[in-house]
Amino acid sequence: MLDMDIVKNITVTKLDAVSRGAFLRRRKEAFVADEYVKKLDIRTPSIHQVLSNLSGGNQQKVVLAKWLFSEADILILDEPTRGIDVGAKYEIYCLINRLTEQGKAVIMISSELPEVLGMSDRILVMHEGRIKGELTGIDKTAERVMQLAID
Amino acid sequence: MKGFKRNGERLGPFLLENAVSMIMIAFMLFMVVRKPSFIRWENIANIINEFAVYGITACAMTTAIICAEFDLSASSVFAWSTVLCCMLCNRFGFAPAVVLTLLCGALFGALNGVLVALVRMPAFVATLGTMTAIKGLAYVVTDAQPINTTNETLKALGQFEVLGIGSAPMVFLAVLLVFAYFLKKTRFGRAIYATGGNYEVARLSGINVKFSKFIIFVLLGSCAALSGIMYTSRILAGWAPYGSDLSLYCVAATVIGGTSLAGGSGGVHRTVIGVLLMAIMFNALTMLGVDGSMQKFIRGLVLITVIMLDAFANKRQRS
Amino acid sequence: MRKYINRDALLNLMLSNGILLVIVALILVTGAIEPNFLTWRNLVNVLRQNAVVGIVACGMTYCIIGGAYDLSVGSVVSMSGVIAILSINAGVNEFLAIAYALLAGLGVGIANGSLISLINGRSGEAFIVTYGMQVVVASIALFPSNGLFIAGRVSEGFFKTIGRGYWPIGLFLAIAVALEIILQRTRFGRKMCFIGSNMDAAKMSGIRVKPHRVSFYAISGVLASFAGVLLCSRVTSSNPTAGVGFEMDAIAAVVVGGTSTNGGRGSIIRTLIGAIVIGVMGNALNILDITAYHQQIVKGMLIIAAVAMDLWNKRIRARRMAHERV
Repeated sequence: MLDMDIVKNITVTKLDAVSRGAFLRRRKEAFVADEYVKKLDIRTPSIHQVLSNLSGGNQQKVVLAKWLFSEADILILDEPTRGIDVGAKYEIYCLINRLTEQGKAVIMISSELPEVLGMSDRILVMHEGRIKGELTGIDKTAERVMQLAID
Repeated sequence: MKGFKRNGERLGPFLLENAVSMIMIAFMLFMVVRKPSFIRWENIANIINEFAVYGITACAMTTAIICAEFDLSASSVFAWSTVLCCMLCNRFGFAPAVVLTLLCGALFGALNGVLVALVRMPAFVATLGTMTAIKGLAYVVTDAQPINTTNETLKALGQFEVLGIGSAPMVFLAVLLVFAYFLKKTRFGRAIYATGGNYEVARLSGINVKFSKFIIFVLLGSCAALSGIMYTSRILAGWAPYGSDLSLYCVAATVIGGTSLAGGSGGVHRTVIGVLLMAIMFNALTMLGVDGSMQKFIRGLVLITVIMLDAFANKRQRS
Repeated sequence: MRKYINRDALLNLMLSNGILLVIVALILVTGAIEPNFLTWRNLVNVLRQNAVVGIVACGMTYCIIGGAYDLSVGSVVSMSGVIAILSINAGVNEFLAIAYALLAGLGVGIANGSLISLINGRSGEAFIVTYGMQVVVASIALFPSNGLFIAGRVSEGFFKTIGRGYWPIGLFLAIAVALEIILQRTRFGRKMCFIGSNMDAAKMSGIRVKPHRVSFYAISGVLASFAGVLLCSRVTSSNPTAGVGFEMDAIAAVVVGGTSTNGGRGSIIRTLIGAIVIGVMGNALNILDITAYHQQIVKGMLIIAAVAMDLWNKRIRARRMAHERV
């Protein structure tokens, strides 16, 4: 939601956690936003910066923060690094790795082969809505992926 | 739609899309049975004469909707044009009156166009503002009184008839053909479709989107003025409250005809169907002796139903 | 650099409240010309008359922030007046009569919201659905009396009092404050902003968009019917066309107050100020001997100017932020 600020975008997934009864607690929200800005190293002059003024990479980090805040055990990330500069890409990869280390499950959907090969424990290749095959361990190579994809 | 007749499954969407037409046809058959006079030439000619006036503006409104905008101020420009036409006829005669009224309509349209295309104001608000202002203007200039005229040429225009069909339907036909050609066969028409379909993509493709958005409002203003002139030729009077339902009538006709509000598709030929169906329905209702407030009720219901059906049909197509 | 920023801040302030400043100026000028204008008595009178539209405008603000317009409110105002008076005439207890009217408004609102949610309508479709509803409800209002006024056999009591004295003003202010708190401070209000800002993103963030949209229209409907009750309580007769044009006035109040027409942001207090200011301006123009029809022209230009300034403001802010882009 590009014309709202960072705080509002982060807390939207779990508004109960930042409210008391029916009312929102602004200070709690700001605290949460601060926390995630530090954790994910989101570059912004203030947590009240409107989202459309952030760079693509930082916007994506805010989106990631939003779902981290929801404390979901399974995260589905659809093209998490598309259109983002290399530096931010790397930071997001580190974040995803940290998540899996914490025990969360991450389903990443991506069409960038290097990204898929580098990040995944398991790769599911899909074609026209069907799963063509699953690759683990030493099978995770570019050739095998393409084989399954074109099959 | 591939092979919809073959597959029973495809029948559903087909029904939805053409539901309105089918209901109307069923309704018409019902009418023919109930009141045979419905199908007499007099009545049909009556219907045609009635809808032609509003139909002129409906063509322009369809163009605007294809470009993903609409215009609330058409009603006020219509009313203003009836007033202006009468006043000028009385003062200067037929020809100057018509020319100046059309010009004035175009100018008001240009104002809308500037607001929407250049200032990038949402069409709803911009035309809401102009509608209010122009309506006020019409009231102020006439002091809320109707203006009468006895101009012979205007009268002749209004009385002109061939086989019971007056001048308005002929003008409507001409306007319809011009718009149809313009939209389908010219560069500008294609630009309008593109702009309505996806503004950014059209812009990036090099289409002059601002001009497209601007010109549709000028067209609307001119057509509303033309409608006003045709109306005045029959009624020989101009009054500020005239045509208050014009804008929504045109939008309804467009939607009933099958042009999508989202923009980028449809055409004036479809709107003719919409105009026709609405005119037939209301004529039928009057013949059946349905009273005023009930007619209003049905009109509202039809509008809602049509837009719901249109939205459903579009959803099917999109997915 | 500092000078640049300060000038922009000033421009920002002027533009976001530009219309208000202009009207305030007009009011001061009128006050100078006609001393009776700025008297307590006159202003209270104006406030009382505008409280009705003001309440409708509050409901409309919710709809606009949520991303669409509710064009049916005018007819709901008329209809609820008719229902209330007819009920009272039929011997129903006056509180119950008010309840019936409010229920009718609620029903219309829920109908609007459900239909629009059903087709996942954006502002264009919402616009036409609520317009169709306006026509339908208007015909319902006309139906019982065939367009005539119905005199109400209302005895002294609650119903009669709420339309007089300071009651309408008090109710208007109370409603506005309550709605504002809900908007700014509760989860419901926050979700309203999200839905208006980006419906798809809101849905994917876990907000149940459909029920919320229904509730926006329901609130608008209830407030409109309450306004209708207030309106006919003053004259204790029902006018089946009492609310004609209210939706335009309500939208004008919202827009002049400074709430953005794109949705996602806004404030009821701004609408409150917008409604009051338009009302006072109308009164000022009356005193300056400018007729109602001239006022229409002014109102139209006002709406355009207000939105134009808001857009200009946004562009300036975007340019300023671009300098600070990271």
